[in-house]
Amino acid sequence: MNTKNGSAILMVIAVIAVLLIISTFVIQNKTQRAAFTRYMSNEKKVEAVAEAVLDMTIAKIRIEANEHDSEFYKFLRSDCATVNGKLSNGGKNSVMSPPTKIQSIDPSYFKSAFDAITSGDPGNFSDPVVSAQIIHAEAFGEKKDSYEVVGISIPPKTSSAKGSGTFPNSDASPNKNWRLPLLYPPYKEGADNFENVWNDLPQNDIESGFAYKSPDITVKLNFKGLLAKIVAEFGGLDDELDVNILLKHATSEINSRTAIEFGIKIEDDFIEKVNKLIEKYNNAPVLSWFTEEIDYLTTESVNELIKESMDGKNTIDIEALLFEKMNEFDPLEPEISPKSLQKLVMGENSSPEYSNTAAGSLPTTYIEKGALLQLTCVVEYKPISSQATLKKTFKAEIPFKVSDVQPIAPEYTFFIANSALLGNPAGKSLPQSIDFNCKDGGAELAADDEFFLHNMNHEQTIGKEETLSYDKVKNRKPSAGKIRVNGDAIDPVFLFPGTLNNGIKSSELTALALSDQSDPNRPLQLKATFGWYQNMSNVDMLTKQVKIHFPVLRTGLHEDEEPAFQTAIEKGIAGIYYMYKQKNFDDIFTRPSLLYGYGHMDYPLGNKIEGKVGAVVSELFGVAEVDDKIGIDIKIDIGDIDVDTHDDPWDKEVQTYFGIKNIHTYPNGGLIPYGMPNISQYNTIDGTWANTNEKGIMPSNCYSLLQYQKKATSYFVDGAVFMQELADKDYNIDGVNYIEGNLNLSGNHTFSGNGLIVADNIEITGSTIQLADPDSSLGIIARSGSLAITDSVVYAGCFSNGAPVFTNSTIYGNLVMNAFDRATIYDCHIRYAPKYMTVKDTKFSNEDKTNPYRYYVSFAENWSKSYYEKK
Amino acid sequence: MSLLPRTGPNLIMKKNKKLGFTLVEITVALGLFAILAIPAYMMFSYGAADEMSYHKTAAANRILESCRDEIKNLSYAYAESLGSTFDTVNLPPATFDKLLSEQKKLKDSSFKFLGTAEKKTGEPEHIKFTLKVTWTKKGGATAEEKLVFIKVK
Repeated sequence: MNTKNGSAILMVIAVIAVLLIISTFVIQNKTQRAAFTRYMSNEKKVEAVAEAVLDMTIAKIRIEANEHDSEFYKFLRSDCATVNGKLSNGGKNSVMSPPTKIQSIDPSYFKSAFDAITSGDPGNFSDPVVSAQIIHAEAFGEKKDSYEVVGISIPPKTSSAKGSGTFPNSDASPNKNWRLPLLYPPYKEGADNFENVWNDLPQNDIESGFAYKSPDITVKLNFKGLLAKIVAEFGGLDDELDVNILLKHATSEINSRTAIEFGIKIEDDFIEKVNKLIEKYNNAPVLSWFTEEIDYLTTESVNELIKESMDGKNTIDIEALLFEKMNEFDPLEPEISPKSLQKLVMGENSSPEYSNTAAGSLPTTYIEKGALLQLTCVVEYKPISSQATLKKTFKAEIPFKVSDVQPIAPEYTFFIANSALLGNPAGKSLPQSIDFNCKDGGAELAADDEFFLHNMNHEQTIGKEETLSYDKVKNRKPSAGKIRVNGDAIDPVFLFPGTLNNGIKSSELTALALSDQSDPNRPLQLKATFGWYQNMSNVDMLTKQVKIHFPVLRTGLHEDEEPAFQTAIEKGIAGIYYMYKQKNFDDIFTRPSLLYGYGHMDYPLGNKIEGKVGAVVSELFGVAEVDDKIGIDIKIDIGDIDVDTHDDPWDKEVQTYFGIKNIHTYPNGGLIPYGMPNISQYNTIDGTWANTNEKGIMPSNCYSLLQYQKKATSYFVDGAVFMQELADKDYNIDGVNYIEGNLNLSGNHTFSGNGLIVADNIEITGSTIQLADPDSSLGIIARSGSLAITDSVVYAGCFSNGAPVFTNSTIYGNLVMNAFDRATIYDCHIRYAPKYMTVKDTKFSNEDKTNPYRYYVSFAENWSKSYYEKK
Repeated sequence: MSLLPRTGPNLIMKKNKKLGFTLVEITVALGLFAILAIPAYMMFSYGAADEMSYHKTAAANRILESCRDEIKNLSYAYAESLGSTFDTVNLPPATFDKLLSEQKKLKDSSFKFLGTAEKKTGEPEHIKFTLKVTWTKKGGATAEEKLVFIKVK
């Protein structure tokens, strides 16, 4: 019984014990929960700091990503190597090896955010440690593996031209491998009948000697001094006699150097009359006391006299005169001397603009990429109430693109790719023959509507307000854009890029020229133009309307001034000859060049002309116009007495006739190479001629439509949205702006930044598209359609996949196209202006892909992924 | 000594005495229980209140995070348009919905929101947001949760 006493207390104690256990649990739970709450609160603080730090860091990186002096500038543009060395991998983008570099980030990038979040917090935050790393990169591939981008994934196919020639040493026979034979056709009765000239043209053999007779020319003998008195006293001697000037080919082979040999056949009547005079003189006793007797004249002695009057020569060699002139200024202006030119062409010395354009391999690494940038932030926090330090590692990833914004082929003024490699335009299957001459119709159209290429760097030919004078331009030694036409068929292409529109450093010295640059203060605007001519396959169809568009010299300040232009046709052959002798014709600037041939041409000859141009040469035929500007003074010295002098022996002008004829198999049934001496052709002119399926002869930096889509910095659903958004951002054009469908631009717009506008078709009407500042550049790319510009002025590098359609417009930049149709060009000027299509600090050579300045970096709007690293 | 079993009241009295608690025992037990149960009760009572407080704190944090995420994901122009101070009335829409749903869930309409925005010029321009959610605790005291973040232009 006693053992049961007090059990109630025991029960209570038991209950109390249970209560105590529960209470202890609850208290402990509460304590833990409170601690957890504090921890969570502190953790949120740390996370807020980490997120703010990375938000601020990426914001700063966005800003500095395209600033040249930023530490991130080159980091984001690091080279990456593809796994297979190609942009594409089985139709997918090639994954590249991302750079291993970890870029630490200066606290100045995020200090403001750090301070903003941590200010007022009683705890102690350590300085965050932030770093960046590119963790993934891939190329912007094309779905067709075969597509390659010249200058990016494959090197341009250019000349490896080297030579040891001694051009312009006459011994090297400059005309050996490059020439425009200048022949004078025989005179025939009725010479003003143009067809007669052609019909009489020699083909495979030219008879040498005094074979051809010129029209009669009257020689006026102007006796002076004592002899004149004698003549007057004795009388019986007319002072005007008819003689025949005969033109003679200097050599018997047509592929020799061009020369004209003059000979004079004195008519017997003239000799007889003169000799009668001499006889009277010799028999005059008074005169013979003082002088010796005079020899009687013979035909041979008269010819000898003429020869003596020409400094011992009776041959005028036009090429020799040219080179003689060139050598004259050689020591004066070494940079524009023939020797310098030779070095340039032959690779011994390069101009800066084309220093890297020689053939060679490209780096197999790529700057352009789509990539992931990972930022890592480590933050430590020590709360005031705790000894424990809280540490968090926050990682955030953001996609970014590095896009090439260099316009297409900026080293060219004019480029016709003519290849299916770039994609066939609608309704056309390329390659097609390049019809500069509108032979399929529209020739008259082409004739009426001008298409000018101004090949000299536009910026170097103008002053603040207007075109500079000749002398000033010359001193600037302007550079020039190249011209390339990828021909397909045997189809003549006549290009006449004027030398004045080409810098000396890259000019081709072809022989024909026209320029009378007598006024050094005259505004200088040599304009190159395409020539066109009528069907020349049948010489019988040739008429006087055959046109040769030599470079023309603008003589007036404004185009509407008369006479605005002076042409070779106006001057005639004699004019050309006269020009050679002009004092002001003293440098290469005044020697326009003629580019003439078939197939591929790469001009100027920084590289070379390549392809089948050698299949044809032009021959200039003409009858010399012997005008009063060719003066041959004849002085017959008889003892102490000047017997006669002839200030102006020619008093009769002869009509000039000339024309151009193609010779396809001349002289030996083979082809005549056309190009600079001792420079091997790009390919031999046999069957290995590069066709337009050669990837290497496509324009540089020309990406496929898909690639432009992939690397687009901004993607617009249509042109209207693009224009609206562009207006919202003050027409900043930075990056690759891809527009789905077509773009219509009208009105005046001033763009800033470095960017490309890519669309299917682009139409610009009544606009002035210009750039806001010298550092801006713009490429307008109608990648799958055509570029149509009407009544507009465009400052940009332009590309048109289909044949461009231009009406009354000017492009300051360049024009690159895949298809070309001369009949859709209605008055257009292309003025080479690299300034408007060159990203600041870049050079525009093909191999400049390693230059980080031509790449624009753009980031995604938001992080693609962020997470805290687990402990 | 008698061997007969005991009967009668004495026997009953003995049995009752063996089965019951004495008054002292009961008094002492009740006293002890009272002394210990009251704090326990108080502890449970406060624990429940704390539990509610935790729920409300969590709800407040959810509202704050919703607001932060929404502002971060909306445009910078929108963030600017919120002005230097903004409250429940002009909350971002998703956050406003969040606020209402949390109030409904907790059956507490005392949740109030207040945001302040401080624009910092410089590069890059950014806005420092300080978000606060307050509510009334039992007894009339006001509780507050705060979140600070930045929105970079």
